[in-house]
Amino acid sequence: MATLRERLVGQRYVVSPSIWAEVRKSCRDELKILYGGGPFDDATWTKLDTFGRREVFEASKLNPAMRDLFRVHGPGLRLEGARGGELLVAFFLRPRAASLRRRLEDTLRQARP
Amino acid sequence: MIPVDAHPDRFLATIAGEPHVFHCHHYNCFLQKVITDQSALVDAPGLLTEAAVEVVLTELDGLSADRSMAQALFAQLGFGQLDLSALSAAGGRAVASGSHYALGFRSKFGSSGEPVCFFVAGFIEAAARRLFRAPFSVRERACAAMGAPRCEFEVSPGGRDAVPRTPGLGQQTPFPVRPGAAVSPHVDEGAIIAACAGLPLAGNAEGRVDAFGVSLTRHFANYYNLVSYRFDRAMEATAGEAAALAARILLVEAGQVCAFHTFGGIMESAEWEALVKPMIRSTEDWVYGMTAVVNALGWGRWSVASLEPGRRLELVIDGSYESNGYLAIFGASASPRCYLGTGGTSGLMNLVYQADIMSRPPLTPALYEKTFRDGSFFVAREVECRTMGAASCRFVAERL
Repeated sequence: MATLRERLVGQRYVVSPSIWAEVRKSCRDELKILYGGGPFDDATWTKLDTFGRREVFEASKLNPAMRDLFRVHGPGLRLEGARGGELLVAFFLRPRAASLRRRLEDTLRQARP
Repeated sequence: MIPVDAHPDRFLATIAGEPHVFHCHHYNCFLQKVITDQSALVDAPGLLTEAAVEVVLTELDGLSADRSMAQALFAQLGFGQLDLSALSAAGGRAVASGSHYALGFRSKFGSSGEPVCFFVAGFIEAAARRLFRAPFSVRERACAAMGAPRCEFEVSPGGRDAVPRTPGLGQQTPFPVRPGAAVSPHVDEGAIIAACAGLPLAGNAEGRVDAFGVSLTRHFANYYNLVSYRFDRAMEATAGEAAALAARILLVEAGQVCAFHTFGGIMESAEWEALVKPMIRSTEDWVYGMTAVVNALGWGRWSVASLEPGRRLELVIDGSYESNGYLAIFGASASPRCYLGTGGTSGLMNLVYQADIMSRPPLTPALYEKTFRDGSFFVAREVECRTMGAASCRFVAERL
């Protein structure tokens, strides 16, 4: 019998007119959601900083064509994406996955209405 | 942090002289299942565990490791957390939390009816041998793949007297000149490799390497070599040439699984979005971008020799960890031996030209079946192999 989370894999929904979401299978016991659209610019990432500590990998210093890689590690979640990129990958941990997902999507709606 | 030595001229990385390569749980668990599924013909637990003892003991001795360093190495490589505190010269108990193999197995195949942490058992046996300079044997008593909260191992004195050393970096030869088509004018391979080298790819406090959207390990290259080639030989010794052929097909399939999930996961990751995708100008650049990332994984030097869009890929690998290891362990071969390279080549073409990886599809079992079974999908063959005397290993992927 598939779990609810397994049944949700592949579900796609709209977060805001500029952002869609798709539930993916995680390698571990996490809820993994891809957020596409955006773009997820500096202003968006500043709002995402409220979720935890941001690590920055300054890839643009290696080649200006590359984008800086951001990772936000917070209690119960991990967010990954590129500065100005069109993909945000979110990993939500039990037991707060549902509430953190709602909070993240509220934040994204405010940042990219 | 235990130092990892980069060998940029060889596209390899070592710890205490042992080569290490990145692979994710899809490959690790599938390769293991390929072998355990043939337990009627081969001693799968022995094969999987003894190889682990050999590679880990060689490395622990090279590091002059004590108990805490053995535990730290396990976590740094992404295998989880290991507690060896209850071990003594009389044996005892060891516990692994968040075992990569157990959790990876559950994620990929669901609950298991029996323990699956053969590599971990071998790691613990090697640590016990290192710490107490005596033979031990290890049995997994509880496994997270079966639903236990942690994996528990019973360590008993006794076991095989001598443990063979590994071949280290193996047999290496100078790299030939790279093919003219090796890199794309748009994709800066050097910057991608430098970026990957700068990413935090050591296990975190939980012994996890979360990167490229997959659950990674910095595994022992010679572990893959020993289990793959011994499995191949054991199948032939037990059931003849047909069984050996079946083994090789399965090992190439493991390479395809690796490509589908690891390459596919990488191409759908935040890292790809940041480091590679901004440089991509064409569909073919996805092939070049992926080979550039592969060249940061410690697998040797991958080069595109020629690429006919949607039709044919010729790929060259210099100093593949497979050929390095095979030559050093078994010597020359009468047939090609780079099974991962073969599956990786077809997998890469199928991802780009069959699965439309550019549209970021979910990497599900259904998509795997569709990509590698339906229609005129790509198949690859190794047309030249260093183990057969060639200067490089050369692969051709074409549509069926």
